[in-house]
Amino acid sequence: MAGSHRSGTRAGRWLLIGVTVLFFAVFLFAPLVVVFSSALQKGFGYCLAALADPETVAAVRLTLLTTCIAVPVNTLFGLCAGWAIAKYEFPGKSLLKTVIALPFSVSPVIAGLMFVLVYGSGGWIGPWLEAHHIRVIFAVPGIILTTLFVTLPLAAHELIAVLEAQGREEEEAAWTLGATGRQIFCKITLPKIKWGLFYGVILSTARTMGEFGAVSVVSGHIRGLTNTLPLHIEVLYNQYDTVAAFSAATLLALIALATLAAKAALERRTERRRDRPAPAQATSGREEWTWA
Amino acid sequence: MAGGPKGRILLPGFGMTLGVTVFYVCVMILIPFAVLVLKTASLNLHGFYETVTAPRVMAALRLSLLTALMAACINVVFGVPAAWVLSRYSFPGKRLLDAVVDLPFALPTAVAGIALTSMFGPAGGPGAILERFGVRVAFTPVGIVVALAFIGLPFVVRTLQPVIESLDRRVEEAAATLGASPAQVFFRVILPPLVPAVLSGFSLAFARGVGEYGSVVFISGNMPMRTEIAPVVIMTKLQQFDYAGAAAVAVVLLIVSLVVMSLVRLIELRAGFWRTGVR
Amino acid sequence: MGVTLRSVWKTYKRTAVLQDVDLDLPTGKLVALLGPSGSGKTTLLRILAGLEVPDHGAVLFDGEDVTRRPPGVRRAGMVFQHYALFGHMTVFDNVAFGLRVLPLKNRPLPWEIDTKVRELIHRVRLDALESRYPSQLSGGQQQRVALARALAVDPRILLLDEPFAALDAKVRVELRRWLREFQRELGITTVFVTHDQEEATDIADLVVVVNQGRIEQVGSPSEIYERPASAFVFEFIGRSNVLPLNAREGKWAHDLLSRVLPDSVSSSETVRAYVRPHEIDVHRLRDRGTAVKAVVERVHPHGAVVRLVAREAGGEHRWEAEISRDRYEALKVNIGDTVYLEFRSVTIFTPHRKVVHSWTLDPVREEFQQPQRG
Repeated sequence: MAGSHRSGTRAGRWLLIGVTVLFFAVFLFAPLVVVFSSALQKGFGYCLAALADPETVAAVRLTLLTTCIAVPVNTLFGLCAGWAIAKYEFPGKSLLKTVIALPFSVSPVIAGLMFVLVYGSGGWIGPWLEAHHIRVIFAVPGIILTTLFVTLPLAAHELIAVLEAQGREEEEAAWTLGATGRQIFCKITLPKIKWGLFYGVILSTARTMGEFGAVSVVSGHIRGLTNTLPLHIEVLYNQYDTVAAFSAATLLALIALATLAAKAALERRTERRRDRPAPAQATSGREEWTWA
Repeated sequence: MAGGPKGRILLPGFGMTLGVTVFYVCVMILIPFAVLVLKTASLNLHGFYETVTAPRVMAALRLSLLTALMAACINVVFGVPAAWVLSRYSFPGKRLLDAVVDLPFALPTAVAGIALTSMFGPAGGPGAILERFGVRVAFTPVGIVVALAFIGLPFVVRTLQPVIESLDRRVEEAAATLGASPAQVFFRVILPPLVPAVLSGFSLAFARGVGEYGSVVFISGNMPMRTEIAPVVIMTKLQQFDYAGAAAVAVVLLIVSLVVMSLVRLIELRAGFWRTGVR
Repeated sequence: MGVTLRSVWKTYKRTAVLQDVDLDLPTGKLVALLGPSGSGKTTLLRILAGLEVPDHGAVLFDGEDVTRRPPGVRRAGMVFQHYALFGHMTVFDNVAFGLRVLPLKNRPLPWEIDTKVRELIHRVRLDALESRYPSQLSGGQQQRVALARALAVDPRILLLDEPFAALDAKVRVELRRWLREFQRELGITTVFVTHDQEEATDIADLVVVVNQGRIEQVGSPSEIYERPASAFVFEFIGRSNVLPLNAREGKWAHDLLSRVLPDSVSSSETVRAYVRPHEIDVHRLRDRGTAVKAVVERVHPHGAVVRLVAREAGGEHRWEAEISRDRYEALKVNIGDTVYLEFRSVTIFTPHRKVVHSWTLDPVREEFQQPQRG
């Protein structure tokens, strides 16, 4: 590596590239290949049949339901948080940002545990819920709540970053021209952040569908009822029904790949924009993993 | 529309958006945290100590911390060159490599878990090869390290990449014109501004590894005292309805990750100092 | 429209950005808010726009209190420093924005908007570019779009934040002359912020000099230059030589000053004394006893004038003198030559008493005299 600065030796450079490619091949590509090859080892038809299993379908349905609730809610929250944090100065702002990022540094199992402690039968408001015949833990509401918690910072983090990068001059300009709050948001802010928003939604979707640890704690693993897709994969895998497990896993892997593609496309877009002599552009994509 | 701090007219929407944000954060984050802490407090200090120092819990905590540490080290060893290659060199397939760095982040942990287990299990390709050399991966601590290294990779690479990209190459050229050898340029000019980012990526990967569950449970085998990680212990306690015990272990893990995260914050603050000269 | 600021205060994080600002801007004038960065001039502009509210004090538009009225309602057209054009809209849509967001009952019909926007785009000479996006325009073109956009809503006052700062030197001069003419045609009271004294004195009817959150002076460009109200204004507008003063030892360090200073200025006072470079005469021989002997160190030809930098003989102080090229050629001075500098006029500020003395050399009596002031 020593000789690899700009004019460094070609050998060093290709050595580094080689090591990286090899490492990525073993560590990142191989697992992906395993997912798809294991799913298809008994043929495409078998894979499809495994997916058509009623319990798998039920799991997919529950996962979709969770996603359809959690993603919009967290996206709306992200828009609110992004607007408040990026457009105004107020005391406690950095504390708020830290708190929003908190779910990132919490083990998913602990996240699940916290919701059991709040809503479970021995928990904080559990008895009250029980008295009113509302089941949260070991039921669908619990799954949705914990998923909301775990994926809360994803869209918010992306939207805060994008909105902060935009600054507020254009909004102020619109305001001096007499636009109302809603007009400013819909006509100025939204078009500017739409790609960041889009990416935030995709990322949230992938993570929401794939959430495992936290949901595992609160679901109760009732097959066909409270098993989400990742939980169902676990069940199938532990029953040594490998093909079925990997068939279900391909669905989630495809969504993960879509996320990566969206991110790459978004980055290309911002890069191309950065090359043009344009007024301040949003920086997006790159830094969203470096939260905390 | 007015309102807000110091009688400033603000763009409209401040009260509404901040109100929603604070409310949601309170309900979704602060209350669950508070309840967790209160539950642990119900144990009293002695009970807390007893729970946490039980041999099975201690073994799990030690295993979680050690494997996360090892995995973070591996991430630095491979992640630093990878970040360098991805930000400095151009070669065919670079975009693909760059995109796939985020795979561990986007791929559901359960999927990663079963894929790694199949790969490194006795029946899998790499697993069989390693077994021939006497290295067992699946159902041993080695497997846990492998899974955690997979999960932690993006943290190191993605933390480092923007910093490497922001390095001003003219500084390297300046150093070279002043007579520095390539090695000197690397160790004296390039490396120092990268150190905070490396540390910060390392810490992030470590913190993530300590709490990781989904990708590990399949490959670890979860044998008490040997390959049982701390999150699995919490899970077990929960299944036995030992809520206070689970909360106690959770608090220990939380403290670890919060300390690490504060460290990251500190490093980043100092790095901001450093980097101003470089940008 | 006339604008009045009445004892305006503004504080950020315990720093007073504006302190007790009173200002009257007459209708139809082009006003420059001139000051160094951090002087509070941009905050002043944002308060006029309604983007900030003063902590105390009032903003009046034609006598009507608009202090707490949001920007769109008070109809203050603003051109932002980096123009803040809407990057996702064409030039046309940018200009039309203010009309399209009007409440339905006040909104013109689409064809009326079309006509008005076309006319504005024509007036700022961007006809061919109406379907371009801001990123496809040059800085000067972007600025004119921003101007047209601000004008579309028939503002009562036009505000421009450092309008020329982001432009190339050549475009800058062209564009500011154009703005001058344009503003005269429109007749709208216009306020622009600048840190460039040349820009301010070149086009403004009225210059407001701001320093450390206070207004130092308000006046026409010539008033500001000829009768600066404070040492700050003197130094900020045009070039100047500072006379070395040392009052601590009880006497003026410069023997010249000790001879010419009036008895009314006591040597214990904080006094600042200046000479403009063009008020220094350069001679090869000593004519008068008040002349300062100096050695020429540098010669800068500057168009019709030549600037000489000369170091005082036996001292470290450097003087800058500005003489005409004819004079320079007659003198035939070179670097290293000894010259004699004569001050035609010395301006003295005693800040605590806020008294300004301007002393002119009486060529007959060889004494400095305070001129009659009008």
